[in-house]
Amino acid sequence: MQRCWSLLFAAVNLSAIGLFAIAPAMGWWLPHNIASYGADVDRLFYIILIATGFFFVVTQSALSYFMFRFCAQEGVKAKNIHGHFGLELLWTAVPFAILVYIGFAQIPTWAKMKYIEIETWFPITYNGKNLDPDLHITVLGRQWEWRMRYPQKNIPADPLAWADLGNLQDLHLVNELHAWKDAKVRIHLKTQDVIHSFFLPNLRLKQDALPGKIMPVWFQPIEANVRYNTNTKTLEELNSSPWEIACAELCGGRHYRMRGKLFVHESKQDYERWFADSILKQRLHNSPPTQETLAAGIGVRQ
Amino acid sequence: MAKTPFIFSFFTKLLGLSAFSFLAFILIITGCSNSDSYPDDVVYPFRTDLLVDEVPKLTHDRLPGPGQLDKHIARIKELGGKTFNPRDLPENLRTELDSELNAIFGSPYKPTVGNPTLTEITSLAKALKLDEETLAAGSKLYRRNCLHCHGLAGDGRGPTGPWVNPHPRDFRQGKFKFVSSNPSGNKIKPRREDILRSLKVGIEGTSMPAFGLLSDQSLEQLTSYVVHLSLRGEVEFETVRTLLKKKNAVTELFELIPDAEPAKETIQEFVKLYLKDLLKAYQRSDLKGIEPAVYPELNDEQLLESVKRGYHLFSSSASDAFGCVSCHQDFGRQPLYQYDEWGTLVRPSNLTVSSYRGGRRPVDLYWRVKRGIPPSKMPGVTIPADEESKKIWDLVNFIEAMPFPSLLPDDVRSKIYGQVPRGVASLSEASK
Amino acid sequence: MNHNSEPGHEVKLNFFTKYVFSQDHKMIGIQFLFSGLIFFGIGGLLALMVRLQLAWPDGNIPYLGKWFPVSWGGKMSPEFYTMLFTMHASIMIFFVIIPWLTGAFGNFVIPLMIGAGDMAFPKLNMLSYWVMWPAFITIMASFFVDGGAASSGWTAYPTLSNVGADAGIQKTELKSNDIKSNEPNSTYSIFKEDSFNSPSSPGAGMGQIFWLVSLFLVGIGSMMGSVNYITTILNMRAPGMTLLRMPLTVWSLFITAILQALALPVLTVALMLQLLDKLIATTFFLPPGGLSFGNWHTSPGGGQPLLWQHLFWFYSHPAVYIMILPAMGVVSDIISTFSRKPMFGYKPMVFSMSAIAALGFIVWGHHMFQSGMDPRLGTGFMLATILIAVPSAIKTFNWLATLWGSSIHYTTAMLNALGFVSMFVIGGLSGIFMAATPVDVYFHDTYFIVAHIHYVLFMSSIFGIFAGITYWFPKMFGRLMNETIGKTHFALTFIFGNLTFFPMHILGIGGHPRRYYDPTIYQYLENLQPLNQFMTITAFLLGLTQLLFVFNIFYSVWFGPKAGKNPWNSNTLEWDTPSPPPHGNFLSTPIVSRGPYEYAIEGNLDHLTQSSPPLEDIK
Repeated sequence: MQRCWSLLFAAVNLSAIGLFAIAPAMGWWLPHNIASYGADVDRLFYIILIATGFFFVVTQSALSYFMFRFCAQEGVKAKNIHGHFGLELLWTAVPFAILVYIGFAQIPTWAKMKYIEIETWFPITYNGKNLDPDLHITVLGRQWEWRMRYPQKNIPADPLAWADLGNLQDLHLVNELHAWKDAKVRIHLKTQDVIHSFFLPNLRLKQDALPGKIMPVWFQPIEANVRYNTNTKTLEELNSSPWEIACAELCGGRHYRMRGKLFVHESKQDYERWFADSILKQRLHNSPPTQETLAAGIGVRQ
Repeated sequence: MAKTPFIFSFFTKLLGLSAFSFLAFILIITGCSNSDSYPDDVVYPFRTDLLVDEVPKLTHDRLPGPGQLDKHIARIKELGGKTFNPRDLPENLRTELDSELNAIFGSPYKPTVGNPTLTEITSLAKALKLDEETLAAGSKLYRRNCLHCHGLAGDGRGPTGPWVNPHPRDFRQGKFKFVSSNPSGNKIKPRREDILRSLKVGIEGTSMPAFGLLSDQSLEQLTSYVVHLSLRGEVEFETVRTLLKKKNAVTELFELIPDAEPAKETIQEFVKLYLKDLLKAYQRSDLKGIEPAVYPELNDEQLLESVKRGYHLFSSSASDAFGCVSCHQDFGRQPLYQYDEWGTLVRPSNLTVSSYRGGRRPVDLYWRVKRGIPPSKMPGVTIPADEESKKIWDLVNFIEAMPFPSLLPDDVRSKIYGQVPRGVASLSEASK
Repeated sequence: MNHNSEPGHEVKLNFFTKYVFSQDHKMIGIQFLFSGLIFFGIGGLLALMVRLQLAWPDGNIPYLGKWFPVSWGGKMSPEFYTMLFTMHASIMIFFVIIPWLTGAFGNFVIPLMIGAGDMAFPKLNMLSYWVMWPAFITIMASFFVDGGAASSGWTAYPTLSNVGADAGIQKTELKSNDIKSNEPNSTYSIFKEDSFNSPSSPGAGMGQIFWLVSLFLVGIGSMMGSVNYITTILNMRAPGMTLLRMPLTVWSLFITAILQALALPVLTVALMLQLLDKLIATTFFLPPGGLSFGNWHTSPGGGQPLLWQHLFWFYSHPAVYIMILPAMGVVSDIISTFSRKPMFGYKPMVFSMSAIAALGFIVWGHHMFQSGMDPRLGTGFMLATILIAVPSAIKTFNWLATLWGSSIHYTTAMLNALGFVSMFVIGGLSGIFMAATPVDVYFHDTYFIVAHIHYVLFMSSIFGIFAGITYWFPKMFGRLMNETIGKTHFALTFIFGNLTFFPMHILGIGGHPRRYYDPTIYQYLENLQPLNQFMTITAFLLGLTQLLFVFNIFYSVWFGPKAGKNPWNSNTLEWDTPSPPPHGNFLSTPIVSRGPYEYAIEGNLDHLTQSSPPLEDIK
């Protein structure tokens, strides 16, 4: 009767595996990947999932089995064993080997996330080229929103000075991050008050913004989700699931409020069409067109 | 191990009891918690915080610390201002006013403007998109997005309100800062578009975030609800203030609306007439905005000239200039705190930083210069209509260029930034 | 050696010296146990309120909503929510798990297990408990100060936490000819009283100061304890008790004490620096440019916010091991006792614990992979972190090998210990995801971390604590705990605990960030919300289940069946003296002739206690 306790352990652990089995089907899984290096991150996740899953099954089933098999019985005495050198060596060496493999397998991905173009996979000398960005964006975190600033012509002459001070002709947006498919985007991440963390689940990207510093962030989306319609002056969504920006470092009570959206345009031309119209809206010298005049195509300078 | 029958029987009872409470708990928790609107028994609280009638004419160089809003307002009397305590209102007047407000404006759960017996008010409200359906939806959105700063009654005293500066707007005086309306008549109310703009892009440099990711329809509903709160608050504010000022004489109330013809002189009647007056003011304001004349396209040289003229308008005290510098000291870098109409300290904007609360479009700046920000004591400019546009555009050009030293003519730059301009590194780039 | 602790020495004690200001290590251990119990309840209630908010973030809180001010509109405010989880973590870590493991177990069992009469410094020991009380009072009082309790998370990262003192004042040199001569301008100083409030968040003012002071006091208490443990273990072992004959519990507490002694000063310094930042406006963690919060601007600093993270995690990563190592020791003893089998690989267990402790000092950077640290540094921390999984694996396999060929007696203590092993496997394996930098960047500050920390700290450490309390209860009070209630409590905790914490892994994989007041405003989190609601319901059931444990303790103190000297037939020295042990612990100083795990001896002997004479003599 006492040995039934092993069934409780087995059942709980089986349902744990069960949850992992049904989670992807329920949509409770990694968000859709759109980053150039995202597939590597995901692959690494699955390698670790398989390795840990294996050890999980081995140890938990051993535990449950031993609990079942070696329940105290009348007249059966435990074995007097104090240890076994060979076994100890085995279960030191095997996890060690697997872990060291995981350790080294991830280094190229790590380098890729930070430097994008690397020549050698070995980590100690990052003999890689820093990326040549196609688009610079300054993102300023503050309690509690992301303020984005886009330069004219995508690349400012002196990016660091631009990130610091900006230009009169910059496009200012709040919580909306625009880029185009396959663009190498360089974000200059800043904050004016507390630490925020720029988190884009779909890009597998997370970077803290440190007060007093401009943090470099890179990414390259490999999929598009919007197209700019020059007639209606609106963004048309290409797929229904939104790609969102979140804050991942506690930054005060409304930490959860720092929601933004990522818009990846189909092409550079599409982005530039959108940019041209947006900057016009921001440089408006007469009263802004109302919904009605907008629909009639009046009041927007071409 | 050892087990006594007593424990066993006790334990079965315990188990039964706990199983029952588990079930009851699940029923309670799932039954009560799924609503996204206010509880239906919550009512708008009658105003209890001090009502600022007159603010002291003092300037400060420092701000009160976080969380001190009401403590700070309580000091206004000592500093030479005038405040009233709504608790001083006699009980009968208070209940009378409160019940009338509730009858017209409903509760947070079911907000209204007007009621079936007041056909004129209801139809006016409808024209301003203050119908029940919109307000109900707005109330839900407000509860979720705005409540924790702006508070249940729109008093700017939500749980977080006193802890941010500038303090969240207290809608209950019916005053708004960033307006572009140009109505005939004396009551200047914001246009819907003004409120929508603040919601959409936020107010840069304050804790007001941008809600641009909400749908346009949601923003419209929120706007309606904000107007609803502000109407309720203003009626309450003006009634209480006048009553306290005029020693609780109800008849004195009607001096606030000289051209109205009250049937009888009661608080109920005043509330209705005053509300009608307000709704009309909103309607007037919404119709007519400030329309600047067409902006002349300028080449680089002309632009520099315009900036120079703008600098003169900004900094000179001559009669043909605006003399903005008397408040925006050192181009706004000196924080010269003054009291605004809500009894909080505000400062003239620092214009050497490219951050504009009322919006960064040139037309926004134009409106700020023309209309001013009356509740914060920023005056609008008054100049003959024929040179209005030209002068204001010069000033706007100067203000826009001010944060970027490379866009300024040499002599103006050295006056603002001294001999070594700030951010030399970006000069070459910014001039492209 | 203190004269009070001479074996057999009779001392007269009144109520106060016996139960309140006691210098007896056993009473101090019990005091830690009960104060931990109070805080376990408080911390648990805070957690339940967090869960309530997460499950129905936009709903009105039933009943409780009425207690909030009217202007909150029946909801809890986001700031209040941040206070809840900050205080939940701080209380659970610093007032429950560490006091229970090192305070209660450390005090109660170390002298008994090594055959000493008392601690080396009984007065210091008493002080280490009574220093905790100002800390208890400070942390509870912080809920009632202006702005409320600390709300920057238990990690208290600047600059959210440290902006204080003069941050509300904009310091600018006013040119005298510019100012209108308003007389009050220069003389009026109405604003002095509010200088402790912080513009970064309400709780970062007085609440944060209270939090810092409280933790500072806890640190002092722990420091006194750890000095005491190290001295006692090194100097006061009974004759024959060599280091490698010590039970694993003592080993784990010894290693923990060393960890604390080395790591705590760093935390204490960090807390002090932050306190100075808040009280006298130093700028250790304030960046050179200063910060702006709307109209409030801080003065320019000269410090670096990242410094805090390094200092904090230099303590707090070893602290994670402080919170698990003693539980590992306790569980090892219990498993060996109830499986009636010697511990498999005693020496590897000792070495692996030491290895965990040593590696624990060079892995703190894995909390900071995305913090702005140089990526190359991240690689080094990653490799060290990966390696720390090896000794953890060794321990798990040794526990399993102990069970193989054993004869398991399913007592409540044993079940809890087995629960520890099972849950530690989950908590340990989920840690490997975080060790891998690219994957950690995704998982950092998501619910995956929350799942991991709760599997290690709640599902593992707390099961270890339950096991230890049940195991030593007869020694503490002379009565056994009720087994039926105990087993029911274990089964329900095991089930509901897993139902509550396991889905958190899934939330984390879905990218659900932690510390969110309302996750439903994110579209990508929408379909995870049913999981959140499910977890809340099971969390409440888990909370209710703990009432069984509390009931069991209080019931059994008075009504439990009387326990003899050695109810579990265990080998270690504490079972060699009456239950509860007299003042001075042992009637005569025990002489140790073997290791602690001599079970299943050949022949008719079931076990040989450490103090029984050598086998040859018996024969």
